[in-house]
Amino acid sequence: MIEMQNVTKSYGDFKAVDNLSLHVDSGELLVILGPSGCGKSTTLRLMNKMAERTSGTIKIKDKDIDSFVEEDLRKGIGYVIQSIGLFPHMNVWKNIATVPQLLGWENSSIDRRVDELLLLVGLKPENYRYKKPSQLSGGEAQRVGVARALASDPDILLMDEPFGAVDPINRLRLQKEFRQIQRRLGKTVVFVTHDIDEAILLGDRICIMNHGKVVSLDTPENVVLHSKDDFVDSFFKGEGILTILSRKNVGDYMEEIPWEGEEIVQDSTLKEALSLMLLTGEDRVPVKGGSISFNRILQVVGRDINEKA
Amino acid sequence: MRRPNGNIVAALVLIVILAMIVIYSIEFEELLYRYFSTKNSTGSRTPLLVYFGQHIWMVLVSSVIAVGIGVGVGIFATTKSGEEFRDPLLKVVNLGQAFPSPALLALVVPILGYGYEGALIALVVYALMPIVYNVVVGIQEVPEDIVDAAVGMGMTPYQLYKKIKIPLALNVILGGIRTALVINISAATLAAAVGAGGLGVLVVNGVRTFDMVLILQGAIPVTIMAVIAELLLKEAQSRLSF
Amino acid sequence: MAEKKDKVLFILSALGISAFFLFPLVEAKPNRIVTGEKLFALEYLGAFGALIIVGWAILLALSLYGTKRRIELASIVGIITAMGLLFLLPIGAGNILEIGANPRISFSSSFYMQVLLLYIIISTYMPRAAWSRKLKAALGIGAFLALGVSMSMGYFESLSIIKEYGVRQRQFYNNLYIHGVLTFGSVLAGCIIAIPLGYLAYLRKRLEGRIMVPLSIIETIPSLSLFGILLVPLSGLGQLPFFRSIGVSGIGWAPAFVALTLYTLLPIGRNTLTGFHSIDRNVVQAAKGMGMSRRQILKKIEIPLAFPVIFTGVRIAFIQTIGGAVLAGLVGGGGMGSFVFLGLAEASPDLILLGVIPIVFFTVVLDYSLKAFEKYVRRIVYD
Repeated sequence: MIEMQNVTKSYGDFKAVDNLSLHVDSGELLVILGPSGCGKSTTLRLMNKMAERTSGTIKIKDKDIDSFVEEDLRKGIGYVIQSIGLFPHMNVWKNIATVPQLLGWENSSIDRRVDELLLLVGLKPENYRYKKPSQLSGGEAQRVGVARALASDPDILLMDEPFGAVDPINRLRLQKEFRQIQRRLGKTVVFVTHDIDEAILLGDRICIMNHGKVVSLDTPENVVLHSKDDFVDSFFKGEGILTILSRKNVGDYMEEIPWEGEEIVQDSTLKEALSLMLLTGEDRVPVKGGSISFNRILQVVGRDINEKA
Repeated sequence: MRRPNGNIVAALVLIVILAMIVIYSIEFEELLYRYFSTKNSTGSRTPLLVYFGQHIWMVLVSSVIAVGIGVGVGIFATTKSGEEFRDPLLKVVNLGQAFPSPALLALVVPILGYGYEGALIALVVYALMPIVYNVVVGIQEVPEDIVDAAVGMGMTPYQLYKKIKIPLALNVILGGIRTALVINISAATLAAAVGAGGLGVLVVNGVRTFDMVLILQGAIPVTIMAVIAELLLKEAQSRLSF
Repeated sequence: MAEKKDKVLFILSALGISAFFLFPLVEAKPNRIVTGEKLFALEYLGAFGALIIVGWAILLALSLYGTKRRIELASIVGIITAMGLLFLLPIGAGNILEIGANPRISFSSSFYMQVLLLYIIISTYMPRAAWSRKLKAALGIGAFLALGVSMSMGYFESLSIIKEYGVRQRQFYNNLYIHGVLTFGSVLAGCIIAIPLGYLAYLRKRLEGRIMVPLSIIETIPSLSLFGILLVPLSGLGQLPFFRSIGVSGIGWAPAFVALTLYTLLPIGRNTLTGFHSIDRNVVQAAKGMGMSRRQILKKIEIPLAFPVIFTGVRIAFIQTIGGAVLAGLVGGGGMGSFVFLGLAEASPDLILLGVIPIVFFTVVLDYSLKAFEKYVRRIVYD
């Protein structure tokens, strides 16, 4: 879907992106992770030509991005930034309708699309359609931002720390919901963040960048557990393991052993199950239709650790 | 949210008063004589309506030209191809604002001579300063991230200005136009000193001959005009900007 | 960067060259009354005119052929050309003896245009030049010193404006003094009235509209009208013995002083209000928590924190008043405006300039230095 080959972006003598090659599959959620100033945002902005590369080639859907008119390229790619950039003088409807209007859709189909998207991001259309951005909370604004990026049904979404400004509780909810939406719609997403947990939770693959170069590019499990790179190790400091657990659903590892107590749903993550064990002091937690044990969780992680060794 | 607004009501009342003064100018003069008569020469002069017309015409023409040029130049200075010119342009604007309006009007005389055209040009130049300044500053102050989002969505430079930058800067731009208009109404009074006519003729002559009636005949309508302009544009500002 | 062509410099220097050739540089009169003859730069300056055009040509060349030091070169050539333009003017007087033995030289359109263009060039490029602050200041002061010294030595004697100055020297300083007193006096009076008003509006939310709206209405009253309208009550007041004894009357300093003071109220009052509003509430809460009294909070916390913003208002009022005080000349209040309006009445551009140039000079210098002071104050208060 997206193909970058030997791409360099220099500002004077400084190379923000240094001879970078990258490949994003269709339907994949690729997270670009790294410290600030590592060139991750610039990499993202090169893809929709918000920044002009110095050398190298970038292809989107097998076509060189230089063969598009800049504006057309961007209209076909959703773009979400941390501060969201909702237009303060337009209501929610108009904000979401921006790209469809630029594309010349009919008003009736825009209406339908806006309602559909609001429902998708969990906002009631009748309550939110005519609100101004200043009347929205941070989380609501971010939902509208995502809806706006999805408005013209682009195949690709570029997201630059989209949940960075949301408070931790809402952030986790947004992340989970976004992951579901992305799976359901099968969008190709490039997601930039400096938050390790977010990267592990969301990414199909994680691309770790430093000094404009790719240090490591692999699945979250492999990046966390099998890293052969000092920078990556120092970056994670062994903390990623719990987050790996939050990627896995209880339903996939539960046993059909009934157990007393308040049940959690199968969609809960292993991390939640583990937290509950630590809270209750018991080594088994009831799940709807069965239960899961502490040993089972150890096994899951242990398998990965053993693979590492 | 269209409710009858204090600004609008006040402006309408003032417009009615102004119209009455202009239409019943003779009665208005008599009224003034009753209270402020220092001299008793009811010398029939040019009717108030003529001065009033000259004044409004001068203000309107100069303001329309200044808004046209000022908004155009200001927008150009914020575009990519115009950004080199922004710095020198703002230097000129700052210098221009350092000139007191009578000085600018007076300086036109040696270059363009006495009369209407010279005064008009001076008024245009003077009105340009706040307009250009506010257009440039207003557009520059549109938050970076909003522009970024708009460009990222695929807006062309034209769409960016039409849908995002100008609407968001409108409050500041209208503020500049308001300042320019009020300054212009005031400066046009001084245009009398360079022989361009207008209500200033009454005030200037009144001051020179210490004739209170004459002064008030000019000063009252001019003041009302300025306040009306201020009220209406303030209202426009609060309605048109988000 | 510097290797590219410089569109701005190109346009400015091209305009400068056009102004040089297409418009008359000066108007020469044999005496004060007769209408003069307009002369182009080359007619008037002769071979010396070539020096100016060389300056413009270098600027044009700089715009086309980039060098690393373009900005510095443009600044220095700009300054030299501007100085050349000024210092060559009296020399040219020797070339036109047929007009009269002692001609009066007035500036004409080409001169104004070139000065404006050079001002833009110098003021745009000087701040960007990679010179130390001291060098820049030295260049500026040096240029003015050179002008001042040669003026006092009578070098510019043949210029009409200097002749006017020579004739009215005492009047000039007297008017300058009056202008200064009027300006300082009204701003001071404005501070005394508006700062408490602004503070009151801050304390009592209910009064905010009642205080600020009248102030902004005053600001919209056209200045000439306000001067005129004030004649009425002030001449009435002048009938009373006390007020007559201190010189209050409809004409003179009183209406000018009152009107100028009224105009300072809005900028000072509004900035006082914003200044107090901009104080972080937490700071005041913290001060309260430390047991400070209302008075102590005002003295030690609020006033120092609001001061920079209030000072900005005072600066704006100052700059506005220097210019506004010109109108005092029309109502017989004296000041530099006397020259302006006398010049208009006598159709003497040089007299107008004699009034305007000092005003613009002081406006620019004061604006610059007050802004610098403001920056300094803000650094102390906020950092």
